[in-house]
Amino acid sequence: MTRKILVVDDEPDLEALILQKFRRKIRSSEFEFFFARNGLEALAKLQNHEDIDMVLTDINMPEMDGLTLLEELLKLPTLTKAVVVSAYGDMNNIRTAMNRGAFDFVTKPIDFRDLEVTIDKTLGELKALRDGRRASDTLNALQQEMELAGRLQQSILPKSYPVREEISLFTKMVPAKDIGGDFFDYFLIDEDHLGIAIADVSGKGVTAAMFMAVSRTLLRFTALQGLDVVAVLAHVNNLLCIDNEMSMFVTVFYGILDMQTGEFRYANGGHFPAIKLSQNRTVEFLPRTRGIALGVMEGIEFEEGSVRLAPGDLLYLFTDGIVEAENTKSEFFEEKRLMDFLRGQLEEITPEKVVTGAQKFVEEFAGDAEQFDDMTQLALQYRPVNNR
Amino acid sequence: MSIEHFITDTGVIVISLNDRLDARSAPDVQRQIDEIISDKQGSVLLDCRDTAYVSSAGLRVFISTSKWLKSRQRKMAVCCLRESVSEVFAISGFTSVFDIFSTREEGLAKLV
Repeated sequence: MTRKILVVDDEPDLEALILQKFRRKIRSSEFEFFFARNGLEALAKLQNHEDIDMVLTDINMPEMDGLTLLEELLKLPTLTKAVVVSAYGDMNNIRTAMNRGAFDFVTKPIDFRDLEVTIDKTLGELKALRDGRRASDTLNALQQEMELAGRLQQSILPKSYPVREEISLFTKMVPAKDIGGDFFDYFLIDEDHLGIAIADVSGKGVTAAMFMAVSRTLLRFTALQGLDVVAVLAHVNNLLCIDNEMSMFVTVFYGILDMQTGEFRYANGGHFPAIKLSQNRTVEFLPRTRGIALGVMEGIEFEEGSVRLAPGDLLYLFTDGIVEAENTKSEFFEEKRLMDFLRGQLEEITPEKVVTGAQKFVEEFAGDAEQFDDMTQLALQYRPVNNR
Repeated sequence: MSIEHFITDTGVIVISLNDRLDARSAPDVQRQIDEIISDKQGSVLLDCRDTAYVSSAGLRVFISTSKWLKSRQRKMAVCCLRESVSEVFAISGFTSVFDIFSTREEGLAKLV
């Protein structure tokens, strides 16, 4: 890229000298020089050429001197670095110039080798400054994006548990700094049926959050039509596959509990199956059923699984942020630790105790290591009325 | 980190993926793969022998690469999944989406 330098001096000789000394760099387009005879002319040039990187200015000039020009440069919105040319030993003017934002100075008569070094140094500094400014712009934009994604995510999560005596629910989501796109949902489909879902969108930030919002809306809308679990996932999958240019996908575990009978039917779109904590003291994953993440391929058929919950049984749903939590030694939390923890909870099972306990256990494991994925959990306990 | 690739005598592009494919590394890996596959013609074999961890963001790399190739009538296969990665493919259901082979030779044989 051509670096543009404005030379401001009332002596016309300098122009010829500079063009001669830097002729190679001018020919190779490394440098392009502009010339002005005083401060006013310089400001006019800067206005017409906003991309000028650097100003090399004399101090004593008619109309507007170099020191005044420096003051004016500070008012410009563009990042332009100035180097002053002063008489040898003119410490007063040099001090003033530096105080007014000059980056460096060269003395007369100009040593062109020194000038070249000074130009390189100045342009290097300028580049660092510009990179810094760009990085901070990008960072601000990123932070804003993450805040937006975070708000989107929070806004789609249900806020209050359905008031039903037959069930007890507890959920928790701890979002990662850059929002992983997890969500959970629960809703009454009719008098006897409760739908629950947990999901994880691939990707981060606003794109993930948007896809998450769409997925959740489609899922809830479809589920409330009263379709069976397999039909719900198949339908949502087909809708998500339409115009999915970004290749986004979402893993979803979706199930319907019949609150009268305790029967739980579920289908799985590429998510971890739920874990069942049973009153008869077992902790196990529900059997895997056929299915893949939603949004990947149209026309996928899902397989239904079902399990009969006994009074007191609890279903625990989670996302990979839990099992893939990492500690400072780069070890993963893993399913085994989760299962061991859950086995320790069998004495007195409640959704809140399981979820907050697991969260605490994972966080103790992770220690100071930063987590890069949302950690999301949902626990549902079946406790039919006539059994209490 | 740069991803290595070479082209076999039969014209298959073999791309060796890196050790971790997660939200942090995925964008860069995707960019490099995109460069390789748009630069050269032929089927693609993604070799995962060095890949110890794939997150859901990492899985997306496989999906978008495969979609891109498919829309250009080019084939893609995956080989040499380690157990932990194979498990991630299994849970997400992707085992049925991709042609997955346990060795590079089997993958290459299928892609010719």
